[in-house]
Amino acid sequence: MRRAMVIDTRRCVGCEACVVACKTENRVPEGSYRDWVTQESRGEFPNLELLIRSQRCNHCSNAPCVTNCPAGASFYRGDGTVQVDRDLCTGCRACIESCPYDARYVNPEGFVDKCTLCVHRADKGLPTACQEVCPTGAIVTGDLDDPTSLVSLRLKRGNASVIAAEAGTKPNVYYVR
Amino acid sequence: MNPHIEIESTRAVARAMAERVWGWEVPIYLFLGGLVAGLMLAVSASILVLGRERVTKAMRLGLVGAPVLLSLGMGALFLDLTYKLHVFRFYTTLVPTAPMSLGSWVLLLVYPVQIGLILALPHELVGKQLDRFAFLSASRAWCERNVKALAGLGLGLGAALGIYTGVLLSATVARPLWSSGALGFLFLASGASTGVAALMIAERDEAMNALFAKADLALIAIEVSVIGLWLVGLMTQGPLYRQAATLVLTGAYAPAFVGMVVFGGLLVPAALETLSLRGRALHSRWTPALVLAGGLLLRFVIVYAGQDGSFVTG
Repeated sequence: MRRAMVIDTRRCVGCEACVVACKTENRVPEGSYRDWVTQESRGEFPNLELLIRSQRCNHCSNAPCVTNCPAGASFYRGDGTVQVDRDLCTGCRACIESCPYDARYVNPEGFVDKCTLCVHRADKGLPTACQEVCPTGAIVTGDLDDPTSLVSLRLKRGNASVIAAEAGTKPNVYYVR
Repeated sequence: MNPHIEIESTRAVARAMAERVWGWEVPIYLFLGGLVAGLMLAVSASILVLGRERVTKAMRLGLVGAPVLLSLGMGALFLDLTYKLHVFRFYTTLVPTAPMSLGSWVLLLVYPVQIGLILALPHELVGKQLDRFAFLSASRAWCERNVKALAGLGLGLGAALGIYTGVLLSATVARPLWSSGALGFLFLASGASTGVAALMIAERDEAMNALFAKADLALIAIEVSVIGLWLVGLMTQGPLYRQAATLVLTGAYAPAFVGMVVFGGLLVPAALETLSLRGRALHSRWTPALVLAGGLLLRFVIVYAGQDGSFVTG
């Protein structure tokens, strides 16, 4: 089992429903984000290209936040996602400094938090909150080891990329364009 | 395609308003950790090379001061934690891949060795107190017999502590400025240099001061070389790393780094120490004070400038 997310940037309209859904579902504190939308425009009028991406923790297979956590609070779950055990977290923020995606934040209670890929929903067979509300179906999650899963099928179409591949963290959030 | 790129993000305002993840506490801790490592290295090397008879009052004072300074550094690190009640979690596990975990355990090992060295070579401030208690007196006798073994441990642990303060930063992947194995050696050399400088401030023996000045000159030369290696490495790695190096070479941190760390904290003291050794200038306590100030500023610049670089912009 290797849980991953594939986001089709051609479908994404940048409505930010995923951001609102995540904040509501996970009670993300004001000023912090577990997911966010970036709009990248390249070129000069009239030769412009717009790329809209819904971003979050990349649940890397080679996650520096896990290797650098001194208390073992950041860990790989059985499905390959990266999680934080808030009872072990000391708030040293070595994981925040280690994340190339700047995907973590400090909860006002003191522990470090981030996107869990909605494990609490996945365990009940539900999609992530962001996937459920996405009006264009741009976001899908599933098992990369299952060739018939939606994520595997989308990746097979090609043109998939990851953010900051040069960081060498082997991200599990893919962008199709 | 025109390379012009603009990025807008949901969290742009939050990111712009966010404070640094690691504030003043971390550079203070790294400085004090390096200084203590330097004190341990200098005194342990003196015991092993020169013999315990040559250990001066200043060195004995350095031994007494080391655990106090280390505790202050650990206090700063404690203040930095956002979940302070969980500080004990550092010692309920050992994560071999996490430098902060390894460092936490090294710090625990450093204290008993420091105490052993204090007992073996007590400063007059504590020497009289030791004989009042039978247990301390017996411990002192044991430490005196094993002072060379303790000095050997002091060398090893001092080196581990000094390197750890730099590896703590370089093990993080997310900050291009810190992505260099050279940082461990830079912080070790700088820590050793500040340790020697601290001893020079307290030392009254002229011959010993001359020896310290020679040692410090060698350490400064190593430090300048490692800084060169670190920056050349970054400049040749790729655009992100080049941009990070530019921050300290010509960017916002250049006046502090080039002017106050490299020039004021390394080259000027090196020149003054050289003049003093050649008899063209009097030994002044301002010279090692400059080294200490440069060492402190080095940590602030590297910790702060490092956090200004990132792989993502949105």
